[in-house]
Amino acid sequence: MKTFSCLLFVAALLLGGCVTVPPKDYTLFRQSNPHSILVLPPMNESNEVIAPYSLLTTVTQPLSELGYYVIPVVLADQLLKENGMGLPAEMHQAPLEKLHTVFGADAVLYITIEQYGSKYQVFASNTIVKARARLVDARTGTEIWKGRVDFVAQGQSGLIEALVTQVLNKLVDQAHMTAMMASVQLFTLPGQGLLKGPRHPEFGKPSP
Amino acid sequence: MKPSLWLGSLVLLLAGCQTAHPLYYWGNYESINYLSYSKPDKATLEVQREKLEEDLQKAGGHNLTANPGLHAQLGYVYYQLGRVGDAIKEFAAEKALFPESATFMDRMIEKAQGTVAK
Repeated sequence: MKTFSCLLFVAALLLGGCVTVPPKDYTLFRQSNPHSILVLPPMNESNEVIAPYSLLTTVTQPLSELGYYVIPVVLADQLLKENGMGLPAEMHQAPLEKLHTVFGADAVLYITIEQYGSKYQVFASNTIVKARARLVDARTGTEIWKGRVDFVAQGQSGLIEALVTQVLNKLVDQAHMTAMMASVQLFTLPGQGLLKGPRHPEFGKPSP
Repeated sequence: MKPSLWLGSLVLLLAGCQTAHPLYYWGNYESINYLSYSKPDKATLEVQREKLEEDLQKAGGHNLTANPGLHAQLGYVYYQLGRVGDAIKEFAAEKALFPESATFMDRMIEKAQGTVAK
């Protein structure tokens, strides 16, 4: 599984292509210094019903490995549903103080999926996961980070297929695999993703 | 770029990866969570319990820390299976391992204890 995560990370970097965007300003992020993150089930602008929960179940690993504590996503979703918020849209409207009181997280991550799924053409298929995200300080309401990802996995490259067939005993489909790579890119791309968190050995060191 | 060059750079990148130690052991947690939404009939509580318990054992075997959420999720599965005592133990384990979860885990423990009281 370790090798798998590694492969995923490398694949994300390779397939994500070379992005030449100036590094983000992390001043507010550093001031807020979040230790824990509540990830709400994403809003869905795509036509795929499973998209929010597909992406939601890929964020814990990259965020945790960055050094943050991620509030258990399924439990959080269940608790919100039990409290009358059946849809991500309703959860995204929940008052921040309330979320902070219930879950105790320092920051809340709001994700919106813009596009999700495969487009099949004659010779190849493209699987796309496109999303935007904002991280908000749960105590002050300040937006401390935002990012976006437009991840296209091309069927022709062979890399995705190799990963899917070798590793994932058919429980995980290609769109979900692409969501995993989109997550890795969204959160860990140097200069664009989140800074290293308190549980990471490089926490607090100047970022490249 | 020639395929061999691609392969070469991939190997180099992977070699670099090997030295970066992951902070946690990652087993079935995210994939079983996904399955519980995508194919709930295949991710029954028993299947979830089995997979998550397996993760905990393997993490222990590799001397690695269980990933954030693993104890909590297993606790929630126990709770749904009516094993309230085991559920409370797992919520407490999550809290001990990750004090950041204290607020939420206290809430879950209270909820589980409420079930016992009824």
